[in-house]
Amino acid sequence: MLLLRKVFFYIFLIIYLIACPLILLYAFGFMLKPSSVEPIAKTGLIYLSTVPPGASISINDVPTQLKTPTTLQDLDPADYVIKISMDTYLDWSHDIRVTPNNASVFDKILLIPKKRQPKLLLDQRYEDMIPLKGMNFFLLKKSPALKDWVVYYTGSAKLYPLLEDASDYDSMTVLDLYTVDGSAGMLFYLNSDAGKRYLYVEPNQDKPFLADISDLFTEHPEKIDWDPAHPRQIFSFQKGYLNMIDIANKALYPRYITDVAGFGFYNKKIYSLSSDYVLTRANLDKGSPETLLDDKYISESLFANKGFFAIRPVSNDIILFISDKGELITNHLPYRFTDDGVKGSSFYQKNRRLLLWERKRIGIVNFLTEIIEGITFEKGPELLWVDVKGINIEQAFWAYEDSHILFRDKDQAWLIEMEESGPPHLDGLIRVNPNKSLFYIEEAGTLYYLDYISSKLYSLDIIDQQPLKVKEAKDKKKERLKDKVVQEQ
Amino acid sequence: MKFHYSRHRLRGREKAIERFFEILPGFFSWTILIGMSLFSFKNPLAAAVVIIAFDLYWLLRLFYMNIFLSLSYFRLSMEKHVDWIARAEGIGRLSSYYKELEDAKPYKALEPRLSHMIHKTEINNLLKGEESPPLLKDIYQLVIFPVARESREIVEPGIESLLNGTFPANRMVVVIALEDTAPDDTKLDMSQIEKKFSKKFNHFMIVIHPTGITGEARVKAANASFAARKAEAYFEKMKIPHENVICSCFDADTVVSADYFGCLTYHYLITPDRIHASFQPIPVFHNNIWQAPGFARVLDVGSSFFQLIEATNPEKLVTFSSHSMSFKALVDIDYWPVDMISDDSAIFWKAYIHYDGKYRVVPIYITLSMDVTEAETWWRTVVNVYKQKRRWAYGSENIPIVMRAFLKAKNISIFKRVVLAFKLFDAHLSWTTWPFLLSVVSWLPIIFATRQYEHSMFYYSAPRIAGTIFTLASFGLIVCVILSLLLLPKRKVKHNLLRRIGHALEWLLIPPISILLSAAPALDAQTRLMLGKYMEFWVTIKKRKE
Repeated sequence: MLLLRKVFFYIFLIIYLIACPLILLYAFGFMLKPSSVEPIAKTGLIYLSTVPPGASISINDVPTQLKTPTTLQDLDPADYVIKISMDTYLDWSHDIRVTPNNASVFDKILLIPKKRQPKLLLDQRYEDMIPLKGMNFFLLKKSPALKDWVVYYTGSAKLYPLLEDASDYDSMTVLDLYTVDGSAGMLFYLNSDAGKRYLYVEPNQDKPFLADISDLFTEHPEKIDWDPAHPRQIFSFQKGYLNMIDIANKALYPRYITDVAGFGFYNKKIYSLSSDYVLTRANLDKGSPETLLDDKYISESLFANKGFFAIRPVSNDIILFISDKGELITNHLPYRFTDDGVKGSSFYQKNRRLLLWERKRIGIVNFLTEIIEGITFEKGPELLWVDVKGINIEQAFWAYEDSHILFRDKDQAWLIEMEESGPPHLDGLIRVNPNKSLFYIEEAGTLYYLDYISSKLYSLDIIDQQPLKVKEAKDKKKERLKDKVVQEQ
Repeated sequence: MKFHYSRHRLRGREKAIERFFEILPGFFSWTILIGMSLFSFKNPLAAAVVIIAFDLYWLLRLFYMNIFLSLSYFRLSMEKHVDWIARAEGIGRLSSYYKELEDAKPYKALEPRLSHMIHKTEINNLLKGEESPPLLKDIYQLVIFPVARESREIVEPGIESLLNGTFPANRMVVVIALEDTAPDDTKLDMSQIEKKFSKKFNHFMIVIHPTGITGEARVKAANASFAARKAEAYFEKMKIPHENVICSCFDADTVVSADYFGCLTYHYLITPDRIHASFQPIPVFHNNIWQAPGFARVLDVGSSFFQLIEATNPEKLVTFSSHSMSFKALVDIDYWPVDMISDDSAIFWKAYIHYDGKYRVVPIYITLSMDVTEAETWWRTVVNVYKQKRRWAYGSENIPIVMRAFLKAKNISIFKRVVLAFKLFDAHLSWTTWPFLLSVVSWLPIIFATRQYEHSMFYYSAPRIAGTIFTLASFGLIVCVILSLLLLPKRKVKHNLLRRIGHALEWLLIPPISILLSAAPALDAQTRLMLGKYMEFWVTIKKRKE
């Protein structure tokens, strides 16, 4: 038995010494091809996954038995034309360059149905819709008169009047509306025979909350903003200072913060940039103040003579500064990303990606940067422009996590699929009424819009809800697994 | 070599070396686990490469072990129907017996034919040697049952089994080594056992082990050593040479098969230089196997398998659990270490060092049955199993003592010392780290994958390769399931097909069990040793259901 043990030991040792490097080389994409000129060939792979899954794949017009999601392994470095087909969905095709030892990843390819079925939701004409990001409702207006404004709840698909039994305001027209992402509150600036009024509203399916706070405004402000976590404490900016208005107590705190060149809110804190460009952060009651930037050289080079900056902290460590002319500055290298023209932005927390858009183009900043060995000077996140040949981009949304971008350009809604390699897939979704807003709810994968011709409210399912729910469940499971692993450690 | 086999009463450099090697196993285990986790976080690609290389190593080692598990099982079943006493008697008349064997009609079946062939070779080797073995009629068996608080129903079946065996009871000396601190009920139970069995053996005695003897810890070995000394006095009195006494120190719940002492005696007689050898049977945990919960069953069958595999490697075999040895060697080395928990393996190392490496373990292909740990409730059973495995894993306490001895054992070749030291370390490190590495750490590179890693070929290839490795490993698991079903005793009550499938599926519990009830208690034991929080003996609660 001892001899047998020794014999087997050496046999297994030889197997290991031969198999282990071979397997590792194979895993890295090296293939043994004894008959070819190069006996050790470098290969690459393509990873494909679709929503919904189960689509057929053809490579260079040759159909395969493979279905998505799948990995096309052992591919020689070259360009491949990959086509993905599925009944009732449009074919997806892409020229993919396979490079040695690398994976070309095409994750969550969203298959577009051949026939889109827009759904008529309201058989009435509307002048515009006003989306409230992060809310399950939006506003619809038939005319500037406040009595013609209604609230549409997406969950229940029901329409409610914005004001109930508030005939005092029926005759007033809306001059301006202030909203904040993630907050249900809205402040109307109204015109009436008796003069200008400020009406704060929080829509509610049972009874909306109304507060006429006209008395608390001594002058018409240049900006209005509030912390979504404290919607009844609003801040008005005028002539370089901030007033705080406590709606619940109908109290005005004049010159709450003076010497202001910019302000914003995040996580129950107020961020303010002073006129000498010192950035501070404090609780809403001005407690626990912290100085975040007090470097004259940096702050002057970034903020001097640029006017007002809207401060938009999007996470604990990322702060965006957007000037009135659309200059984008962040607290991450290289600090200044655009000199002007930014019309809006949207941040995807999970992957720390910022979507921004200008009139003609869309940009992405990836803050999930990794330290790459061999680079002496930190480069910081880069702004990558996506060439969408835009004419007048007004709105943009992350869709299906951050794998797609949905945007409105003039009278057309588009969907871009962001590819890891190669140009993006651009798909014209639907014609919409120009200069009228869209509303997209990621959780449901549904787009709400006013029809191009009829101006009636329609919805369009961009993403099948079923795979989204399955994915959500999988993500939750993955998160739980992660937590478990962390706990076990 | 004269060596102080204890961690106590050390001074200066000796103490420092001892402490260093106490820290080493735990330090290595934690370093591997934490290091690989950090490595996965810092450089997931490189960590994934290491993990794939490790997975392949593990797979080959699994196959390697499977081969020897199967061969060992075959050997066990081959020797099942041997008349060991007849063979042992034959040794008394070697020349004529060898001729008888040569003239014997060949067996048709493979198993008895192979067994006969091996036996013939062993007799021939003995004939060629210069030693003349003692006669069967001169051999005595000393059987010690250390009892701390076990009840009569645990101990009695073991003593009954001695009477039911083929070895004559009139050459058996049975000692119940009873702790003075045992509960009154236990003491009463033991006196009833004495009343029942005292006349049935050559000699039967209960030796009460007093507490507080200087130099002793509260460990089983102290009790057994005290009892063995009393037995020594008896053998002196009866003028029975120590060379002719085989000593077996059994756990209180050990039940021997009818052939056990016949088989042991045969191996004792046939083994050259028998004084310098321990005899290791295959411990199985069959006494209450069908009453125990599935997880405990799988774990203990796994322990039996491990011993079956180890039996094929006598060069590196170390005694485990219940086993037997020459009483002369036991007296020579001054009995078991009285301050160590892991008396079963410590006695081998103590003898090995004492005899300058001229000591070995001879595997004997016969089973010896014990109880699977079981308690009143399922949860208590889990706790007891955890504590039992922690105690087993505390065998790592031998590492510092053995290493200290090896550093000055000039009479043992360096090669032997290195090989044995490596095996000792490897066994304890793989015990603590492998289950964690395979089940937890191997996922970390994917969880911590950087964008750079996500776009490498390896990110996509590694899970496929790992999946193939685990699929291949499941064939090894199938071998385990089949052998476990063959090895398990017949049930008193026949189970239906569904239940039997259920028993086979219990093996799927291996990943969580191997972490929670094998690697975790082992890591616990090594950590205690590393931190100097030394363990004392904890009596495994064993309970048999009606």
